[in-house]
Amino acid sequence: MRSFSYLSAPDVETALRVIADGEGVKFLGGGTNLVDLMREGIERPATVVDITRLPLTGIEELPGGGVRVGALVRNSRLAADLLIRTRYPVLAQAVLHGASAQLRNMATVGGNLLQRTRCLYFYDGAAACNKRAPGSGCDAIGGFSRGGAILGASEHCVAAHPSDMAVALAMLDAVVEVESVRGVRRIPIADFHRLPGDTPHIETALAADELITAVELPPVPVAANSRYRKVRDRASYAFALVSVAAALNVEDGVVTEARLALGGVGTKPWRATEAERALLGAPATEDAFRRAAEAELAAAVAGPQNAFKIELARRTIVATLRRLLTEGSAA
Amino acid sequence: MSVVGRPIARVEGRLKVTGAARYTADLPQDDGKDLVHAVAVCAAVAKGRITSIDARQARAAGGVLELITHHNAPRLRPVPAQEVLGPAHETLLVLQDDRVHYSGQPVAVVVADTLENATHAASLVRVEYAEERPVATLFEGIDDAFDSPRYAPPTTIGDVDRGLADAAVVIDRTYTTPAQHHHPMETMATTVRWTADEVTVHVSTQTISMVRDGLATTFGLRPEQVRVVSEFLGGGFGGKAAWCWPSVVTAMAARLTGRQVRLVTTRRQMFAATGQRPHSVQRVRLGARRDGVLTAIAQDCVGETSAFYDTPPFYIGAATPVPYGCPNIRTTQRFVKVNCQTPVPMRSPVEGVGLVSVESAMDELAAELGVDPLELRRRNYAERDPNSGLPWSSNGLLECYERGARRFGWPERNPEPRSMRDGRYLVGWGMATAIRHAGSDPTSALVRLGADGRAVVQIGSQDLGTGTFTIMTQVAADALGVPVEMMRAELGDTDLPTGGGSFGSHTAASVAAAARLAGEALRAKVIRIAVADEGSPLSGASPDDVLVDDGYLFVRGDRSRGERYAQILRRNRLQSATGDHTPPPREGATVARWAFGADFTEVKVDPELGTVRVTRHVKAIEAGRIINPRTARSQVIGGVVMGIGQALTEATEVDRRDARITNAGFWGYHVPVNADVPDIEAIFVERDDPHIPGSVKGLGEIATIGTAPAILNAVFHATGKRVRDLPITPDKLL
Repeated sequence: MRSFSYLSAPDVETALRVIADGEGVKFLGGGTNLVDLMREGIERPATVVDITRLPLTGIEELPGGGVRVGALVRNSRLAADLLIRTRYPVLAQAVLHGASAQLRNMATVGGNLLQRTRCLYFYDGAAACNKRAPGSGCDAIGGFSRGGAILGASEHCVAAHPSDMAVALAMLDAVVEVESVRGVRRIPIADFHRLPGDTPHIETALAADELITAVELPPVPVAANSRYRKVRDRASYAFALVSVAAALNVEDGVVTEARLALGGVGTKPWRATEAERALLGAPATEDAFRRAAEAELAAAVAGPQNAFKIELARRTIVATLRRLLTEGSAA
Repeated sequence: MSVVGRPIARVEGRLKVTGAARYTADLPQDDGKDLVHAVAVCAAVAKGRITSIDARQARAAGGVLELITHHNAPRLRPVPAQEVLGPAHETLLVLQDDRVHYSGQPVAVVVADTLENATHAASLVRVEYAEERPVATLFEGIDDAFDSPRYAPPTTIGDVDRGLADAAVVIDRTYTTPAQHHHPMETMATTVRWTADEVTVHVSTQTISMVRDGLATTFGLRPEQVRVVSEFLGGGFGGKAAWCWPSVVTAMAARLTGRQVRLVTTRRQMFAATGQRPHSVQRVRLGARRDGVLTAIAQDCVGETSAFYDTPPFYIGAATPVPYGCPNIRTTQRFVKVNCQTPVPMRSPVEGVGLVSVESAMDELAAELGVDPLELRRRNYAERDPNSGLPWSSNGLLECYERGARRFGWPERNPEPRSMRDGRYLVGWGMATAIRHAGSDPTSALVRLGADGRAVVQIGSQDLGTGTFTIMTQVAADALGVPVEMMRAELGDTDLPTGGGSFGSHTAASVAAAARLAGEALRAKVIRIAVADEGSPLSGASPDDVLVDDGYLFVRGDRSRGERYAQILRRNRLQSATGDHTPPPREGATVARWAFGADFTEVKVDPELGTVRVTRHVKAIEAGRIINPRTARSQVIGGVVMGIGQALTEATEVDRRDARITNAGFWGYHVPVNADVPDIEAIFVERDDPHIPGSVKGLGEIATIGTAPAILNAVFHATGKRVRDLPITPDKLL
């Protein structure tokens, strides 16, 4: 068999030293994506370092109202946490819209940030895929591309980012804390995931020797009135066709603050800054919501099979904002 | 007291929930040391030639025992499937030459000491192809569609053109259905041990006799040299009813290595291991008078067969002339050769596909005429089978309509589309008729009774998980006259009396008939022994006067004069008797035997985002007599779930450029999950049928037929939009 070394790291220092010194080292959290990818032969680590014993499992309130979430917090625990549910309902909802209960019980926050695309061609070893085999081409373009991204794609890659959690984190301006033997870095979520450009195989700003240790959620008062909406091909356990994370503040019928991020449509968790700009100061009306959606989607590029995503994204944005207005963040 | 008709729990239930039931991939239990593992390398192109296979790295990898390609594979003899095994099988002789006919066709097989080593070595095999342009689906090859007068002869009743000309209203619509895969939870597993003159095969199959005959034919053996065992099955849905390559290549590997070899296909490989439901295009024309009475039904279908298969699989319009009384009916089907595996039956290959268009068109006709869809169907109730002209053996369809409608609340339906709401959701109610031919297969049973009063019933049938073990036990216990706890069932072994395949909704009827005959024969035999046995209180009684109740034999009118089976058997030898069920011949039939049903469903549609959820479903079925309402209900729930998948979520997506399946995994092929499954209610309208042994018509397919079109019709009622291309994913409702 294709063998690999396995090491269970007793502490962060050991984990960082191993990855700094070794070639082909991968950290193992919940394993819900990495193990699948190893079975498919897409990931072929020489060494797997199990990090689940590391003390990165806390959810702590920060001075000033933010929350720090350890990288090894399981998705199900994150979604159940009272601080998260009250201050960031959008995040709890997003997590609960992902995967299945069994997977959420295993999956970690850090691992979720690093999960790789579910583009059908990425998983098909016989297909050309620049993500899997740089330079081989992209069979998704012109192929069965119903699931493909409509925002942020390049001629080298149209793979949609699969995460629900990361969409909420993008909306919340989360900061990803990473550590290596060289020190600690704090990467804003907007810079953490990369657009494919001509290097679609480089998906994040994480350096080869770095470990995600935590995600910091800044204080975002408007997030108390936030929600997540996901449209998919069945009622549960499917990746998003379109998803929307939104937060809204309305005073006297005017939008005073709006945050919006999209899933299922972007090559990375998509912060909808154009839509936010259009919403700010606009009346909290159906028309204004639609115009905001259209502002964001003006840049969308689709093929015949995923063209529906543009219309579906527009509708889902409007529907989510409308429900925020009428029902608040109640799930 | 009779146990037939009672909802007893599955007799093998405890084995299953405790994990003690051994499925094929769990075997062998004891002598695992000899077992080695095979992994198939499957073609990455859909059409072409293999130009080279570089197996050096793979052969050098750890634990590898054998690597089989077309260069060194045992030579196979052709299996003319239609003639040997019945319709719809994989006739391709794999690993015999350099031709590739479909993506996923096995081009090499690696055998190694462990599954991990075999999997790794398989990944090291480098195959080069000279690729040719494939035909991806029927849509790419529709100009070359051909007729098949032998296997899909057109049906013509009356004069359809005249019927259409005479109609006040004509509906002319074209529907398309996707390719789908069966996806039983248990993937295809085979374990083969090959000795000097005998082959033992453990395999997940719906037809042990088919595997035996197929292997015997292709390897040039006598059937009695092949023993096939399949005790527990994790579903099949038709995929395991077909002759296909996993068993063949496992047998090759066992022969070449001299070891016991196991091959379990991966989920990805299940997209080209046991066949699939093919794409279809169905044009339907209905002609009707203003009052809704049909004057014409015309259905013209195009289906698929594989590129190498010259006997098209099945005729999806074959049952179209049956459900409605109409003087003018015509059905045709043409086929396109496609670079796919040979299409095989999938619950249900004829009615489950071909009636989707008919039942949707009936709904369109109802809307056009302003007639209630259920009333339209009542007005077109067929008093006799329109296809054969024969009277029904029994027909409970009208009662299915009535009881299903009442239970569902159908009369409350507002006929206007988009008229019913639940908050922001549009509510739709739809219904459809279901029919399914009721048949059975030649089946033999043996019932044996021991001195402890315990009995066993044996039939070489299979239990897909539907309850065959249980109903065999019930019927045989009743026939012999023993408590159900005293009867045990054995099946799934070609060493047992020969049974038929577990497909075509035939199993219950076949095994029940044979088990009853064997049980009754044994009862009569023991009675004869008892009345001739001077040591028995029954001595000298007339056999006709001996009754049996709960294992106790006594003389009519004098319950005190009698004794138990065990007592008779202790004085005599272990006794057994056989029963042979022979189905009535199709030729010369004087009645038409069908099961009937009516589906009523409610959907809620988010009009803004296009999502559809089935929120409740009522299915009324007349399938004669129900042997076990509990397992029957379970089967209906499963069937309806499958219909939900057919209507809303399931499609095998083929890349039209290279004919490769793109969504070959559960992350891309969406079967319904629990959240998609609503409250499902099964109503059994029971009928005695003097023309069918035990009045058992079979449930397997009628359980799912009708569900998908009912959902399609409900979506129209909810939204006012008619989707004619399955499945109805959100994008189609925007």
